[in-house]
Amino acid sequence: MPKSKSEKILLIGPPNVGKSVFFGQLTGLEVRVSNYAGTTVDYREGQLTLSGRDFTLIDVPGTYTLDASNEAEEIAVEMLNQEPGAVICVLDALNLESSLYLLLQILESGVPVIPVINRMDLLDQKNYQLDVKLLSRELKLPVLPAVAVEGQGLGELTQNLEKILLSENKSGSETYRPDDNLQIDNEEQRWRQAENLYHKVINKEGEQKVSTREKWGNLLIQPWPGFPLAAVIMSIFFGLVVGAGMGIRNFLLLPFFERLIFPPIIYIIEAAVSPGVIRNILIGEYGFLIKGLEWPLALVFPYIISFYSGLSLLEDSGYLPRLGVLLDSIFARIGLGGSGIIPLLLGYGCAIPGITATRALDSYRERLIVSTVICLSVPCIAQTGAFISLLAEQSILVVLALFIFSLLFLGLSAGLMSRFLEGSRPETVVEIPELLWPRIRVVGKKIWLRIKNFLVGGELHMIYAIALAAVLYETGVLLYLGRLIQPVVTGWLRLPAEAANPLILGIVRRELTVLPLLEMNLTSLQLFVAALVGLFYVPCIAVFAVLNSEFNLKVTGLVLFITVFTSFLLGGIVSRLGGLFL
Amino acid sequence: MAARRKIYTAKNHQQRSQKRKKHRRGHKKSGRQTSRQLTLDELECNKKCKIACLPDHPRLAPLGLRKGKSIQVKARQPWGGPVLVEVDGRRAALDRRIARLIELQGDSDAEK
Repeated sequence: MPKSKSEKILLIGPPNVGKSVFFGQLTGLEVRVSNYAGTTVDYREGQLTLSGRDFTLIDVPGTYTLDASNEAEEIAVEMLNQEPGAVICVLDALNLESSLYLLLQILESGVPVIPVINRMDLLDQKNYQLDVKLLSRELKLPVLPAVAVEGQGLGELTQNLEKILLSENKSGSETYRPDDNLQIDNEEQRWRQAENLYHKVINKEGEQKVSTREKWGNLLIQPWPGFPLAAVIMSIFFGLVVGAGMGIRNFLLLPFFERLIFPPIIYIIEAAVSPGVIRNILIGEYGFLIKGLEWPLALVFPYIISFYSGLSLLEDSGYLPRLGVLLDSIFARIGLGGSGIIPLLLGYGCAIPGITATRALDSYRERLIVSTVICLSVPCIAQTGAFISLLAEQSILVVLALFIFSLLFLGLSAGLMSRFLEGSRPETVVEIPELLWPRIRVVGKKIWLRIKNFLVGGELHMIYAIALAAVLYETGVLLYLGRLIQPVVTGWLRLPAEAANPLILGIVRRELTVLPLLEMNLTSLQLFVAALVGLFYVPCIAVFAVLNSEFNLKVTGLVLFITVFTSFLLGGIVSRLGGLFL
Repeated sequence: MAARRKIYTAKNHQQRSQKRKKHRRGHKKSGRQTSRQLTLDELECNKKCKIACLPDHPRLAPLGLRKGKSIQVKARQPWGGPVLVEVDGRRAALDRRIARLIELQGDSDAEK
């Protein structure tokens, strides 16, 4: 057997069963997990070392069956065909019947399989008994119970993996292969077999308990009181994001930088560097030692913390699919399914995870609409932080007005696109996961992961971008480029000429369309117009790269055109209309 | 493999819903004389019923929606929104367009 084939281990299982939790714990890699189907949209590889030998563990996106009816299932089938050394099939204790169907399908492919039943704790809470030993006997291979988030069952799993992968004699691994009478050749037979197995091993005779958790899970999805509760939950969410973000900024990070960090930097630079271009690049208008720290760390970072804390809690609770169902009939008006809410919400953090999350949507058409709408009218959290810094000084109402514009356009553009794109709205068939209390350790780890991503990814890029801006500004290149679009900026948008700079810088990072406006002494109307243009203006360069890889060059070009066109059109109209009233 | 079951397409959906409308009109006039299959979107909340026939959709079977399974409607979203169903303690939201195609055992008149 070629070496490379046998050294792959696949993690396969239905969506939202905790495959990525196993993956994270077995490889030590940090991965994003949450409580809804479709968190993992692409397969991921990691190193796993067993008794000194390296293996590649592959986290396959969740699949209910191997019938290859969607992209995730096609990936799973393709990987199974490459003859992996072993497959860890993660079964869902709560939905064992359909998990068994998937297991039977995998067993039929003839590869060595280790079945692991995850979420055993939830079964206990329901007072159901599962006879794991009987199931092992029936299947003629060891089945392991586990609670992955708590790390239970991982020891046995690695032991069994070692048995399969490290045993030299072939007969050792042979026992893990399915026996021949499991050959089933049609779907219905297989379902019957799964059903029979399930009824043999489960005992639901214990006293049935309905936990408060379940009651809430049910209430939250009833139209009443689900709708008012959704309004309350989302208001609390956005209130906390804005409130906590402003708090961290005004009382913690801004004073820290302004009092402790900047004075010594300015003192040292002024002593060491003589006035001129170099000094200005370091501490001038776009001086990257000042702005390069202040903008990403004092103005944007607080909102990264508050937004991702809130979002991670929502994700882990299992509330988002419920929100999706409540919003489904409203989203139907704009040609989308309710599950579109998840990529949109992720887009309010950053457009890139938002766009990749659209892979979990059913049709290409819906993916295209949601991705375009995210690029056009969903500001990322960094830009939102910049908006709040810019506008909240005037009034928090201006920020609210901006977000109303954003929502209106979100609906309008999605509605228009769904009218012009061929195809009809996909049918919603979506699992509603159990409502779970978020686990502090899991949520904490996820928030930390996202903050770290910002610090080593986003924030560094922003500092580079500001450094570049400083050089371009001080050498006069920015002024020259600005002159090219000046007629539009001064004539059509009625903004000062220097407002052309952020529009050029905004191509690099979305929040840079807004932050440079801070020191321009604009009137209220000008502020609003500039913010509006910034909102609908092109997303950053990284987003274009993602659009290009997820779709194609044509889509990328179209998004570029739509965003530039809409932002200038709308900005001009608002500045004229506002001019009449103010 | 899938051809054996009823294939769900937008076209036959339209035909079916037209048929049903006709049927409904006829139903009103002739009172109890005609009877027809009860569908999932008409099932009362929290009432159990067995599934007789389903459209072809890859995600229905894995979510527990299969022939002979006992199903109940937990909630119905307004404005034509999805129907929330429970099978074997597992919850799923189904589009009305699909719920209309899921036929249940028993007769719509018998249910009343």
